[in-house]
Amino acid sequence: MTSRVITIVVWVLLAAGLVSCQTLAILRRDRLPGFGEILTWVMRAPFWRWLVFIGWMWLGWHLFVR
Amino acid sequence: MAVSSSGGRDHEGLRSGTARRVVGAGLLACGIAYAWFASSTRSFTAGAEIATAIPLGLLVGGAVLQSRLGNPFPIERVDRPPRTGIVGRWQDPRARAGMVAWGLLVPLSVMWELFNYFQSDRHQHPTVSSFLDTVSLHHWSKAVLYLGWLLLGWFLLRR
Repeated sequence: MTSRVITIVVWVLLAAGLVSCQTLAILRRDRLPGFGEILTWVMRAPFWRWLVFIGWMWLGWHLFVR
Repeated sequence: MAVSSSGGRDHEGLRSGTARRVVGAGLLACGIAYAWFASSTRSFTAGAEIATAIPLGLLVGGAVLQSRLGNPFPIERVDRPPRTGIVGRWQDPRARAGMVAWGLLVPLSVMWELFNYFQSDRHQHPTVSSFLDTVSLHHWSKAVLYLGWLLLGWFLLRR
């Protein structure tokens, strides 16, 4: 098994885990927090709020300009 | 009198809800048009820099205004079931398991991205960017990706 295959398999497992968590959160909204709610919780403090904004900016610049 | 007063409040709420939907639909239409335009630019060009700098400036401006004036478009929470918040849910063992899963999966994904990013052979160690570069090969798929990024920014601004 090549490094490429291992890397992609791990990516698929991580993506499946994240999607499963979000799906469960949507189905059981009263129990499991979704990613949006966790972000809201993280962004309560101005420092983390701006850090998340900077992350969004970096993502856009990295994907569409670089 | 009470009925009239209640009816008035309902009408006002409806108007407010309608206004929200109209503004939301207008912004979405603008976002789609902008995503289509911006995704037609090529990376490493001034056009791409300007097209991407505009939403960045809007978000920073919006965030600064929001911090001074409050959130003009807060997330609607009226129709959602009551929540106990992150801290409250930590008391529930079933919810705790899900929160631990989030707490593991997100850092693991970031670490896996960084590990692959610092490997020299990008073909053997693809990162998220590698997958998204493939998605960006077509104008329409790049426009969808761009729109997703814009919507994420809007989502974050409303938090």
